[in-house]
Amino acid sequence: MKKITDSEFLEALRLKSGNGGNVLDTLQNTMQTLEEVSGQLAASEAMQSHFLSNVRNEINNPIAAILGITGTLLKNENIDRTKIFSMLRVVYQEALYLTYQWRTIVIAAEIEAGELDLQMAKQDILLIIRESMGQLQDLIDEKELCVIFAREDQSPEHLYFKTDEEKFRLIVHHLLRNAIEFSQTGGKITLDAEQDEHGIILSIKDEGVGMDFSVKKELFKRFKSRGAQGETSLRGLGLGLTVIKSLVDVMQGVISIESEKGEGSLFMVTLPNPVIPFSSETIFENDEDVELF
Amino acid sequence: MENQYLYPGNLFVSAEPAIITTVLGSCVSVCLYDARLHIGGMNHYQMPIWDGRELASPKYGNIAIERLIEKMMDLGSSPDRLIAKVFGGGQVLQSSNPALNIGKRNIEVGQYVLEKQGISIVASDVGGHAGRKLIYNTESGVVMVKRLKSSAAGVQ
Repeated sequence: MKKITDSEFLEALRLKSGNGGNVLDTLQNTMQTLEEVSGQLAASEAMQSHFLSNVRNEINNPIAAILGITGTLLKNENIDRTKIFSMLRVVYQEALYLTYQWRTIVIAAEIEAGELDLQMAKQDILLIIRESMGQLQDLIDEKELCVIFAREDQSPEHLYFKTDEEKFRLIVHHLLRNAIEFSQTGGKITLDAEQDEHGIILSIKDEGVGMDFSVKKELFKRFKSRGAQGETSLRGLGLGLTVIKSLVDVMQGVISIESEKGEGSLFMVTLPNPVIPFSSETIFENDEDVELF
Repeated sequence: MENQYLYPGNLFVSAEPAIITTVLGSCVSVCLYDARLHIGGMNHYQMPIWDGRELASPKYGNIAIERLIEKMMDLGSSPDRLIAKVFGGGQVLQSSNPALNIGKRNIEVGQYVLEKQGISIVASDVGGHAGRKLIYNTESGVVMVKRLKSSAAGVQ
């Protein structure tokens, strides 16, 4: 056995008692985590039932609006063209809303089942962004927003990137819709898409209500919608950003937010070039760095 | 034979013979195999345990393994016939903070959940600093593993 001096012994004791303190700290941290988890579980139950009633509203309300308006149009032969168009625009917006909410639910279900399928193909990113802006133009006009697509006045007309079209559309649509909803009347939204050797960066900036740290922290949490923070009476499932985050994760990208309360928000989505070809590159049993298990 | 590329957070189980390919960094894949039915399935999880915040998806080890077992049951397998092979969990990003070593925690969760379910791990190639490419033949149960250079782009 090794002999130690008194001072070495005291030093060892001191270290031990120091570690003892750490153990207590660790225990306290663990307890705290356990309490948090138990709180989350209780809240989760409540959220699930709230979510179901929310889904009912989110699906029922647009359908009721569409049926109501088209019913009126069918019954009255003498509505003037301008009126017909303004009614049709509402029908279009409600149907669009319904479609995107439905896709969000379907994708959330696919993610939860671990069956999300990515159909990667070359897409024109700028075209998808322009089409999303077009779809939401009525909402933009309604709030008299100024939407600037930074790329629009610069040279490249196309920006090709290999991605899943439907999922990328959903990302752009949700972020743009959010920016519109959280903008104040007459506000400005700036969109940009850039490409470098690593991939693409999509950014959407609004000058709307913004959010403080506590809202930002909860932003990607399922069933938490920004509208539910008492700021505005917005509709939504509280699934949109959760699904967007999961989609970006699967595409091995990053989503980040810069925001202060009252100072607007900046959402940035970075998607790397997909690693290709995943499956076509075969490996062989007799390769020297290949092992069989 | 069907070729399936497995994205992170997904899982795949097939009654028909299939070749499942995936690429792992700090992620872990559990391959389950039923030698009597000659069927198998694989998951690919990125994080150890679901935190109750994001979607309850097989991105998390505890969920990914339980779902994988359930899906094997759906195809007529039973837990006592299942064997597991575990791969990945490399420390591809250098970090001195052990709490940030997600790979290690992913491996631990895999071992813990499988043990709790009474499924034995018959082979594994985990940890280290390299990424791995896996090709799993669900009919034979054989997994081919190729070590990748740790700098391989896009490896999670």
